[in-house]
Amino acid sequence: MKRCSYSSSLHMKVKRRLTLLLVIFLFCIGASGCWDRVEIDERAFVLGVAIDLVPPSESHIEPIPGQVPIRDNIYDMTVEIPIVSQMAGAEGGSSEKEPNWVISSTGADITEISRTIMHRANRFLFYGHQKVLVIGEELAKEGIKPIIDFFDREPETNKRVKLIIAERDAKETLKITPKLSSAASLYIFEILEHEHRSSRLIDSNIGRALVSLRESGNALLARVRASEEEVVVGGSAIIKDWKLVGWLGEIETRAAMFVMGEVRGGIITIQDPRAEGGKISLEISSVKRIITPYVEGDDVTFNIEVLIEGDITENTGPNLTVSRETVEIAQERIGVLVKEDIKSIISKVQQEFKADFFLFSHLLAARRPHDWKRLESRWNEIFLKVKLNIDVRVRVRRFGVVR
Amino acid sequence: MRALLRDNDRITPFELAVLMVIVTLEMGVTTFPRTMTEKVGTESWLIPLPGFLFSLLAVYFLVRLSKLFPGKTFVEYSQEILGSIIGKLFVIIVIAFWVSTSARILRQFADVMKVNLLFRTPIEVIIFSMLLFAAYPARYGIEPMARLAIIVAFVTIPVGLFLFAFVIPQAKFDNLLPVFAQGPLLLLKAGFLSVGSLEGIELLLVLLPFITQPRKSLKASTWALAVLWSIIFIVNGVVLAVFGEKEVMYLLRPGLTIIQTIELPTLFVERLSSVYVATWVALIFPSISMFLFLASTSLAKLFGLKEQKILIYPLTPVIFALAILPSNVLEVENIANFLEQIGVFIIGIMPLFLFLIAKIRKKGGSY
Repeated sequence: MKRCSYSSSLHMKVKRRLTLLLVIFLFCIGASGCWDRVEIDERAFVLGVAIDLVPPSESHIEPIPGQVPIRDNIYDMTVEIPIVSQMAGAEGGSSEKEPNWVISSTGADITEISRTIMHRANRFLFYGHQKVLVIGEELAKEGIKPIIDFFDREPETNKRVKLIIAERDAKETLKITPKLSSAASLYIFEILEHEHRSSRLIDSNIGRALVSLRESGNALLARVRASEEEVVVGGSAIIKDWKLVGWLGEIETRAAMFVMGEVRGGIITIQDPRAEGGKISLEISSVKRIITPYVEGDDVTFNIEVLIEGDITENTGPNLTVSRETVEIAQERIGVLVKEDIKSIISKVQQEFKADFFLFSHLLAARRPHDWKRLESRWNEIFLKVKLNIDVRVRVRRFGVVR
Repeated sequence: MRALLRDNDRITPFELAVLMVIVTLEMGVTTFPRTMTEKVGTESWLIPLPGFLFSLLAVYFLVRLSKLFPGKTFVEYSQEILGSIIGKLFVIIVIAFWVSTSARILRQFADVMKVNLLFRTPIEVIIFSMLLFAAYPARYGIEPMARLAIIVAFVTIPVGLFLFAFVIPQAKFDNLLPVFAQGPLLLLKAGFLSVGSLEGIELLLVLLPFITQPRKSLKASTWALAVLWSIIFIVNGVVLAVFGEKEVMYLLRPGLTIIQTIELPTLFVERLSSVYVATWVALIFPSISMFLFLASTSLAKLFGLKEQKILIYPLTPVIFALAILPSNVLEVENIANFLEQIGVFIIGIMPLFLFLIAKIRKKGGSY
């Protein structure tokens, strides 16, 4: 009896040991993840992508045999890849070679070009760290829908990739060598991340742009222009029905952002009426925007209330101290200035571009669903006649360490 | 020695609640914002209100049924109520539902893993290894699984919600409007249909006789529903507020994609989605285990077998085959939609129906 139970417990022990061994063995196979391993030196991290349209005369890609030749756009895609071995040496700043590789290829769609570049670079292109997607002017005029799909579908690409429209060629923006950043893509990305410093550029990323584009086909995207050693990021590109229809200047962009409630900072400067050459600058510290739609028949009115809070950072008025009068002048004049800016941008958008990128339609659908159902089919006409009551209030809170 | 060990076939009401929560949180939750928005538009974030009411009704009738037939699972009482043949048919439908639901979850999980983390691993390997690990605890009865669920719940749910908190700054609450523009009927209907994706309630069909304090089971499952619907409310609401109606309907799994929108100024972990997907691995594992356990237990009771243990491994090849069967993601989604309707039948309709028939035919205990 005793012996029997002993032997069975020994049996159990052996069984347990074997099970444990099996579990460890399975764990080793499962946890090491060798199957999907891609060594870091087999990967090329794509920092930025620029896509241009190849003019039809220059494209010399054979039509796919057996298919009816259709008019098809040929794209020119440029990617910026940091050279990792160079990056380590570049810390000292004495590296002779370029720290990044900018490589271009052409093809009929993004996946195809991506694969071509993969072969040329002999690396696995990895989009998980992509920072920017720059689209050239000509291509944007044709429509950005077919371009975005790849980056939207690709699971590695995150939704924070900046979506930018370039004046002229997009590839030029990736070819510049910035002085203080290690790569052109990072440079552009960081400028856009610091959009709130001036509010004269729009921080548009794929995620937010797609929300707006799918809602109405319209969006406001960042604008970039390449020069010799830097890129000029400022103003914005107007997209209507997924196509580029025009540009907004920097002040116009700020005004549009006031309407959309996205201003978070920036400087507004006004003339001091009490003296010639006297100026007052206000640094915006916070902005509140309240927008309310009113509908009467076919007349749509939006009440836009903007409350700006800020600090005076420069005052070159007559007696140089910030008096009660100075504060009142600043509050009033800045309010008038912003109001005029908003008025002019809205009339420009209504008359010139006829594109509702403010998403007034969405606002109406959200707040006045019954009226929206009635107006939806005629919205394109109604938008042109939308009236606005703009009320801008400015509050000066602080004015530095001197009076 | 033996007295110190707890039996492995009894769970506390608290463990039941945790199991209910953890079983329901599977891949379906990531598609939930889309399927709900397709049904009711911007009102989808309100669905937890009617959903909670309808699921509470289902839970109430299941608990009443178990009081009418103390110590019996649905396998026995549905045969008593509906008669042997129709009762058996119902039991078989439910078992088939559990088997195919676990196959559906496995397949969705494998597809997500393949797209996000394991690009080159064949889905057969992903499914097989997951199924193997899920089958292991299912052999050891309900009590070890309850403990497993507690560990998983207290690790993954806080991590998941923590990651979710970073999304909230992206939310635009205008996207949640308009509400009540289409009348309450559509919302009520959607709330009723959403009960079909709350697989956790089905645990009550089998587990109620195994609760240590049966009186507390209604309270515990109400708490489980409250927690569940709160989680769904947060996920649904935030996803809709960030993406807006149109984009939610465009995304395959809004509940997963949302993590990629997180914007942090100094984000040292650039790809949070990998962490997030990893939490889903832990979340679906107890669900599959539990469905295996439920299916094997019910089958054992149906055939009058003493042990459910021996049925676990014979069931795995069936689930594996079902998981491999659909040829693409679109088919999987269609199957998921179909299964949700079966779920509505099992959870939404049958408990009330069984209870009424039992009352009419005066079956069961005295009250």
